[in-house]
Amino acid sequence: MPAPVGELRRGRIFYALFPFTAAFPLAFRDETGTTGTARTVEAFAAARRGAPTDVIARGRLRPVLLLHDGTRGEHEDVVCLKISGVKPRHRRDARQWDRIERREHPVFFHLPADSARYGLPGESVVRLASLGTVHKSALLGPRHIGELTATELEQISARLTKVLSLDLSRFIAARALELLRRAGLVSRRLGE
Amino acid sequence: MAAVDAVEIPAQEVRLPEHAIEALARGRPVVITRYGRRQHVLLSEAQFALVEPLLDLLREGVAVSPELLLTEADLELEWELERDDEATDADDAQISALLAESEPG
Repeated sequence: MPAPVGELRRGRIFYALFPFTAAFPLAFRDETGTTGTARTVEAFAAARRGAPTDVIARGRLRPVLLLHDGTRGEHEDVVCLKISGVKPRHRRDARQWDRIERREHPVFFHLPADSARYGLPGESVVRLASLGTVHKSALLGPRHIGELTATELEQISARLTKVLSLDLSRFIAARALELLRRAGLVSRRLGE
Repeated sequence: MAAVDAVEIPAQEVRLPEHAIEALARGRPVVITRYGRRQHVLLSEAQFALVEPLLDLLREGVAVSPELLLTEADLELEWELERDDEATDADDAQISALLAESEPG
């Protein structure tokens, strides 16, 4: 059963069918059911133009972190980040892993092996450069397997603004001005 | 763009081992560790000139593409994790448990 929408809360971890990023060469199937292979995106464009096409992609059930509540049933997708398990072969660079474990790395957020909190099979990383959407029907229920704390989510949010090069300075300035106004420290007209 | 506000110390106030001075002269960074953990990095003037503009941007809070902050090892790890399509036994067990919970009755 897919996860019920009431379960879909920001910061929760689910297993979801998350396809690997489509890369060329790739196989596809047209509306007649005929399969083809395109070696490049140009070859695909020449064959299919803008027609909707079934692309044959690999995927597997893997843990994902939800980045927003998905409790509105009529909205179909949720934005999430992939979570990858760490295997001994990934730990080649001691300095890199020192940064990851101290949670100072710009794109890997470390989740130590703690099955009670995260519900993951072992030590893992949230990959901040792997932002994507998953259809709600592709989230395996009946429940989330784990959850991040509010502090951990705050750290991920802060890092995402950098990964996505989001410039929040105007919004932060407007919010700061509003707080100063409420405190009576600036006049109503300042900044208008 | 303002230069990085570095602290300048006369050479006679710093005592570095000979091999560290030689390494800097050859353009190799020198890392100072404490209890085995990296704490400080010394660079030659020529190397510092290369990274100073990036430090300046970071200090000013300018959005710098995170790709510029990644090492070769980081890019390799991201690539490996993205293509890691081996489910572990623990993954399979977790998925089986969820399926069992989903079954009615």
